[in-house]
Amino acid sequence: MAHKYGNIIVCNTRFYFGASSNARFHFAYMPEYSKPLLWGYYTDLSIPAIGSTVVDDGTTAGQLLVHEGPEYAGIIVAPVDCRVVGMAYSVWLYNPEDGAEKFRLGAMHCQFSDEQTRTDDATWKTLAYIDSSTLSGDEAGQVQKGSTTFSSTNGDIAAGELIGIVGQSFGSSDSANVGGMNGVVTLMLEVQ
Amino acid sequence: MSFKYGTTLTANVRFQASLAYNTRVYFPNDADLNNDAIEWDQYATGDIPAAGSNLSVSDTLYSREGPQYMGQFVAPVACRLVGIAYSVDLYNPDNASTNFRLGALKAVFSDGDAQDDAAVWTCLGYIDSTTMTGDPAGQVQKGSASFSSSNGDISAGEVVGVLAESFGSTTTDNIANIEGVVTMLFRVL
Repeated sequence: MAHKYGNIIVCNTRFYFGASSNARFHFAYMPEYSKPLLWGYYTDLSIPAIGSTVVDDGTTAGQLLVHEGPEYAGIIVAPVDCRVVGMAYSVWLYNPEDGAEKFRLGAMHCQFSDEQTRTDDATWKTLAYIDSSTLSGDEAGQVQKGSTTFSSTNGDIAAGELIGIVGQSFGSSDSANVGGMNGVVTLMLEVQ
Repeated sequence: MSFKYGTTLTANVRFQASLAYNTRVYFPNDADLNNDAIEWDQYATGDIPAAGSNLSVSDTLYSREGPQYMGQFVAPVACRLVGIAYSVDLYNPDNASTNFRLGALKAVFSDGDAQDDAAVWTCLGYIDSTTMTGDPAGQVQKGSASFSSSNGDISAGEVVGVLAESFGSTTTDNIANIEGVVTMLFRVL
């Protein structure tokens, strides 16, 4: 069955993300956990540029395995070929650290082959990301929102492929992070 | 980038709520709450208003409570709420409870607003359940409604959530435990 070019698919997730280091990105716990919306898993790797990939770096801290896509980070499986064309967020930053600068929410293609060994090293590709507004100094708790649209083949994903959402904090030092944040992120896909 | 006018977006929410007072509106817990993140235990004292009107509460409701609790969907582009549908299990409604209401509301704030500013939540549209009489037995209910009004308009980046409210002959004749799914339909403007 063919689907009309331009039809839109949307998925949302609520989340809590407690940034503890700017050197890592976080993603959700497994669904059976008592806090499945808590992005408590992380790896000491950074969200790469759109169209680029991040891989397990061979260290314990920088481990990224293929099972962590469907088990943890994944929020939508493309039912047909599509492209990430939009992201939007609305968050509450509880108490950003002095020197915290921003956060980034990334849409990652969690790549693997059907029946691949679950403990193989993973390769995740950034389909799109959105950065928050820039903070400066020691800002108080606040609410933030934003949206952006994309139109690039870097956001293309084939039917059956998994997309995960990850979050990363940025600041003037590793510990100058955005701290705890609650919110909602929405991903918009366009049928290709 | 522009998107085709009329393209639709959907957002679905599974939920459980214990609607214990008809004077309250209920919405979800913190995403970080142990075991009950999709349970609607948070509440404010007030009524779901008409589409286009702001929620008025007699207690405190902060700006942070939009993204922290209520929010389910963030508009990636400007759009309009054009439909709501629900399917629920009412476990054991109280005698003289009459119906429930599910309202889609947007949390209005500016990027960087203080977390303890007063919340401004505007109703985009709501749906009422079938009216019950007497002492209703446990039952399943479903319904849908469509809208076509600028009262349902939201801008890109605004967050939308769903509130639940119970109705009955007194404040304690309520719907009580409700579990189900509610779907919101938006149209790109």
